[in-house]
Amino acid sequence: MRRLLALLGIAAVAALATPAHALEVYRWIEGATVVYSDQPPQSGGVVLTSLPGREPLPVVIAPDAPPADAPPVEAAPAETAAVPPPPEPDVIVRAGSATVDEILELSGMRPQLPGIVRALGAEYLPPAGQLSEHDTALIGQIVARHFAPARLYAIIRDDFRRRVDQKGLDSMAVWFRSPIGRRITALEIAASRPEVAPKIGAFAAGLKTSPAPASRLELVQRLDWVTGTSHEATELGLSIAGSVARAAAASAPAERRARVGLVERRVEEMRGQMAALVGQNVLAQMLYIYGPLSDAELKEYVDFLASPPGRAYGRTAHNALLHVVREVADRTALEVLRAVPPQRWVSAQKAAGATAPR
Amino acid sequence: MRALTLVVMLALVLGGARDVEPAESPAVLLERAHQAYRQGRFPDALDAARRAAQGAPRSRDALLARGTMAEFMGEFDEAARAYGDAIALAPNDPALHYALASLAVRLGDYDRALRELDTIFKSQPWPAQLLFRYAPASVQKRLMATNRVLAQLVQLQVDILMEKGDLGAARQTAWRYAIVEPGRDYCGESKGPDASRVSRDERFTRLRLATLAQPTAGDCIWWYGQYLTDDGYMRLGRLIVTEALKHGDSEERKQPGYRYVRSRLAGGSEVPKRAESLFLAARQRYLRDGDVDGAERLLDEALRVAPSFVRPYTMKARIAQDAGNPDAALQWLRRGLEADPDSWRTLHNLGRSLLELERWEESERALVKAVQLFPEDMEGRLRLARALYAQGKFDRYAAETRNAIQIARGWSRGSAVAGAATFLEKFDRWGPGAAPPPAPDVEPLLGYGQD
Repeated sequence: MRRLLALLGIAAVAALATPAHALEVYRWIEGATVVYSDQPPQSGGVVLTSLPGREPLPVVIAPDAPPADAPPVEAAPAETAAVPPPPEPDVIVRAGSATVDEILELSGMRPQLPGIVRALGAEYLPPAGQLSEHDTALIGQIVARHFAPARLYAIIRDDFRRRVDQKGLDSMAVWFRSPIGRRITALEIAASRPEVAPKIGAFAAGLKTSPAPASRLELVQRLDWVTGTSHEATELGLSIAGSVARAAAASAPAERRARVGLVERRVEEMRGQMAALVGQNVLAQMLYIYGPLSDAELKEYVDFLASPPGRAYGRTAHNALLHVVREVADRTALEVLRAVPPQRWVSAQKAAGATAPR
Repeated sequence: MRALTLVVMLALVLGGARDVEPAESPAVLLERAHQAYRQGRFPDALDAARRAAQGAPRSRDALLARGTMAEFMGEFDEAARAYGDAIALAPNDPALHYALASLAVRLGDYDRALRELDTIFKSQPWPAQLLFRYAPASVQKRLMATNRVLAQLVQLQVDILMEKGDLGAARQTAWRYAIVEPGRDYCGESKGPDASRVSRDERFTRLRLATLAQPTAGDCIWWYGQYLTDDGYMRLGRLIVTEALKHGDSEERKQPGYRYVRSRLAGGSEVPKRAESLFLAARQRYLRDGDVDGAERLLDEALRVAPSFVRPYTMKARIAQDAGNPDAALQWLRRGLEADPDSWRTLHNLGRSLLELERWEESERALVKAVQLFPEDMEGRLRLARALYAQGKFDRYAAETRNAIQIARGWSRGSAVAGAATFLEKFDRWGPGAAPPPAPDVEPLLGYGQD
């Protein structure tokens, strides 16, 4: 669930551009397993979904969630009421033991991963017109190859499998299968749509003149506290920034090459400033996303995330995502700067007066 | 065959080109050396001075420049040779003897330094010698103002006496030659309203004069010792801090001072002056010039001279850390602790490095000892708190953080720990959160920085 928030945090920091390429993910069932791939099944099995459609995976059994547009118990601020509820998932029902795929699906991790990946990958892309079409396309290909949602999803899923046992999965599933759990995931997925970003921006600006009620603010602050969303978004941002800094240092001539540890220190020095910015944005985004919920519902959510299963989910998801992004980021940055050396970015920047590679 | 011909032709052409390249004159090289020095390009300065001296091996100026630059860069043997060669050319040149005396002090050869000062003294006109020997302090002041050679001689003599541990003789010399004025409150000046506005060097000078002029000014002597320690002057630092401890009014109040000597000044063990000077030059070469190879060579030499001197180990660790090699950094820090198990800085840095590697328990062990040795180590306490938090030791996390915040506020460093304070408030309100507590850099207190 909180993956959305991490994404939004990053977006807030970097004012991301959306890459031109589309990211296709296929899913199908082999036996009892849901398989994700960027290639259709060779077995000729039935393809359930092709991303980016963002339709949730039809795996889950649970009592029907209430319609996402059901009125909240307490009236939400007018600014947030415009959040369009997502269409109700067309789920196939299965009871009993939970699976990793099911948890990642119901928590929103899987449906939101392409968006997260797209946003992170866009960090490597040049502003429009800064580089030649050829260079821009080259970078786009590299980014698309490394930031492939299916591959990253597989790594995250494997990480989850290693870290969470069946009992842990089942206890997480209690919440994620519940009507309120599914409703909240639906809200998060809805808010992750690119077209919602301007509304969130406007909402955040509006908070200056009409701040959120203290009780709601307390709840979202606690939500951020128990999930570590701001921290996670900052870490992701620093991972990307660090990967570019390291790659740029590595591509410099030996006699002018900054030492790796010093580069790390410079990147670390960005943390304070970045964390403050991310923290503010995350709170505003949370206020927007959960606006349709009553305080009682939001508290229920926060209580789940503060509970042992909620914490276990958050911790595992955080570690898995960060691990995979760190791994991919360094390879991407190295390859990007090998394909288009820093000198080309700089000379193009000078010629166009544009911004440096992000 | 054609390829071979081409190679031969190229070799001839390039070789010829090198031959016809106009040679730079020693004078040009010497000027270039001075210019590079003025511009802070010290490796270039040494390189040009070397070439100037090689081109003009009988030039006093070139040899002096080579010696000065080499000494500045920690190439002490090279400097001694250059000064020696220059003195052989101009045996009565006081500037050359002064340079050699200064180098001898740097290397702890105080007898040699005093012999050189004696030579300088004898090179002065006899009226100046008479006045220097017998005139009262009021006359010495004018003599020092007009005779720069003697003024320098006295300053170096005071340094030698202090480094030899004879602070009483150093004070007498300072009085006799009007380096300090009777009745003047140097200690008060170093704490006065403009104290925060003056440069670090100026404050350092004031504290030195206070130490010489006011034997009972225990607090200023203590601060002077801490400045020296921060700057890496182990020998003089320990002597001055020990002197300050004589002024504590009770054994209990002296305990922090004893702990300071133990944790910052290698306890009772003496660090050879040459090793200390090699370390100082190495640190500058690394931090100022970015000269990794040169710095490492000097540090290796320092460790050969003094294997139990801990600072070169921590510096080697830092260089390894900066090179992106945390394992090597850990090894150097551990070797440092084998040499000096009570080195606060080494424990602090080890705890920090282990924390970055998420080796919580080991980090905790190192940092617990670091804050025992230096209870006001705010940064160490916050890092320890983080290690404890990561292990779920929340009560101790909260206690360490509270402690650090209280100390920081007491030392006007509250803003540096504001994030930690906010985090603790949330922890108190909501229990453990998902993110780790902040562990910011906090400006260290006097006596605990610079390394």
